[in-house]
Amino acid sequence: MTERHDPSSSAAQNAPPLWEYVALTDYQVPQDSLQQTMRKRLDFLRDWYKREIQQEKDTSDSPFMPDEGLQQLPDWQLEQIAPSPLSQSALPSLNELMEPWLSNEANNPNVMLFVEPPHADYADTLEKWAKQHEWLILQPPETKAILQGGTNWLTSIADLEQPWFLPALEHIYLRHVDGLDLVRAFLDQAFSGALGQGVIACNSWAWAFLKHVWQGRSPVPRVVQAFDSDKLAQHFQNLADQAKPRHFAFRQADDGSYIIPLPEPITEQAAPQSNDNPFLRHLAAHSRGIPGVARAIWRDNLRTEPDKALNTANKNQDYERTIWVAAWEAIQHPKLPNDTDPNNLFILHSLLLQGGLNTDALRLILTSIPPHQITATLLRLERSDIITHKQGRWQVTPQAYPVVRSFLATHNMLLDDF
Amino acid sequence: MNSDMFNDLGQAALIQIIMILVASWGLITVTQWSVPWLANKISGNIRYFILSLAPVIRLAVIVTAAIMILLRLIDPTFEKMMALFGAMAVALGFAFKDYISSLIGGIVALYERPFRPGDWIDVNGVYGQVRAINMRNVEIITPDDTVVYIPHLKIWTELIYNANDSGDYLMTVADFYLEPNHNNAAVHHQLYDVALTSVYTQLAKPITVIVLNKPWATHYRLKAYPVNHTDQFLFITDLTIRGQATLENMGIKLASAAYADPPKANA
Repeated sequence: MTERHDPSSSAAQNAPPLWEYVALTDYQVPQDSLQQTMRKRLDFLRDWYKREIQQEKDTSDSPFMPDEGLQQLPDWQLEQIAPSPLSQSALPSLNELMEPWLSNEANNPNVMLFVEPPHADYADTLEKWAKQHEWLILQPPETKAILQGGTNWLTSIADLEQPWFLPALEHIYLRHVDGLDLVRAFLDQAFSGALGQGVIACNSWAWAFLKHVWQGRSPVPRVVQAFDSDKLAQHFQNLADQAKPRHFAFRQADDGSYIIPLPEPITEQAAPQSNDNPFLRHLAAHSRGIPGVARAIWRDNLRTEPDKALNTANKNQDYERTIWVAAWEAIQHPKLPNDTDPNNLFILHSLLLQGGLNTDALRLILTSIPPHQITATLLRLERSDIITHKQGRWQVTPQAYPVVRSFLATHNMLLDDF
Repeated sequence: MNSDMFNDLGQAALIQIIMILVASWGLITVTQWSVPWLANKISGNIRYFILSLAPVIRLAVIVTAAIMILLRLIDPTFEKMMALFGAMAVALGFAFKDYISSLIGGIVALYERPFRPGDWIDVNGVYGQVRAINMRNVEIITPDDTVVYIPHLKIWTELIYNANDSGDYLMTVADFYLEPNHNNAAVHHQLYDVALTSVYTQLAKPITVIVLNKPWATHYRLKAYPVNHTDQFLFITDLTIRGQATLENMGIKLASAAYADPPKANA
């Protein structure tokens, strides 16, 4: 069996780590080519023309155009090829960041703040780290307690004598006139050192809002650097490699080019090296470098068909299966059902600012929208694959996240920094 | 005016002039219909840009047509042109003084841009959003969905209040009149949060609460900016409803006529 190599092995020595923690100000959203940006603008005009002039109805139930002769992979196989990353994947980088902080308590701030975009795919890394270090994991209070100021919750954590970790700062506030006192008091105490040593993780949208709610001084938030095309290639290959001993080659459905370059020994024999394939560059820019968003779109585009020609030609047992990836241009991204409806705007924005909400909490926040309209809008958005109900909360789906963010940006709504 | 100023107008020139007039009229009609139609199909800031194109295109068409016709009528020497314009100005000036003043006001409005389509302006107590800038007047649509035509003539004499100054931000104010005996700081804090938690609030702009003592009440002015201009009245409604509910929860009463003019004790 040929030994597996990292696709970017030649540059691996100097390349930044896959999970690289940086200051929020150093986060760099991957950029797409000018050609692709122009194409997006043209797509916008085309969509507008179809919607407004032709009044075209979208008859497709699938979010993607089916490619001739290719079929979507079953869920079990997707779990094999593009599973969720293991929570320990980012642990080495996190340990590297945290060790100096832990060892030098006198000169460092008591509390570290981590900001994560939605669907970051590394949210549970911090929790795993906290558990490894036997830190206390703080559970958020109930909605009712938040609205009453959360005094009991705050008192219960004030006497802690061990370091703590709050996994979701966005779950201790509500965008309600009575829902801000707790988070203000908590941030006051946490960043003044009154609560001892701790780590806070916060949704990027919530943090963008909380910067207006709480004007105190916080340490510079830490984030995982965006995944550009090279990192995505490495990430997807690493995920697929978890299915060892079986290996996969990823090729673009319309031209057969390799989306993720094959290891060098194999490349020399048969397959052309194709690290200039633009698919991953488009994907990195579209997903704004958020690995979970990129992975969800990647999974939805994987197709299968027995590729006998490749296997017999290569006689390569490492790559016994070719996975076809739909061409970037063939992807149909989720579309908002009626993007001029202001209810869409407020509901989607609220869901992002709060890291997901249940229907009751949405009704509590959106008092300007009649409750029955909230329910109707939620169902309409769910049917369009824009949101999903998960863990008791409505959340924007990873596939729709870039579309939703772009929609909110068009309407001058408050955006996150990612 | 010199009698040999005009060329002999042949049949061909006459047909050309008629064609120019018809083509100009057609272009203007198409522009007047198509630009608002196109703008209504588009949301976002580009809508206002498209709307503002209509008067510019119309002016360009009229000026071009006038020049083309003039060139067919006269030999455009300097003296002839001066004489012609002088004569036209005197005649028209007397006949259409206000009309011309409005036309010139329209040109000045295009140049100085005291407002542009999409802006919220107040002229002579009429408040509304500029729908179109025509040659002679500006069309505004009031919050009650009434269209008001204001001649550009007003630009010379009236104060023009532009609420958003051709920008993205427009301040709105929600007023609260409260019985005076209460904790001002607590109310100030709560009203600030009312604006902060409104879904309509543009958080990039500051929220301010002004407190004033009046003889009969404490007056709170909650100032904030909506994300979208067109939501300003929904925004004020939201602030008012939620603000009053919050004050009620705090046990604070709104000032009422009975409080302003308390009944005298029985003698």
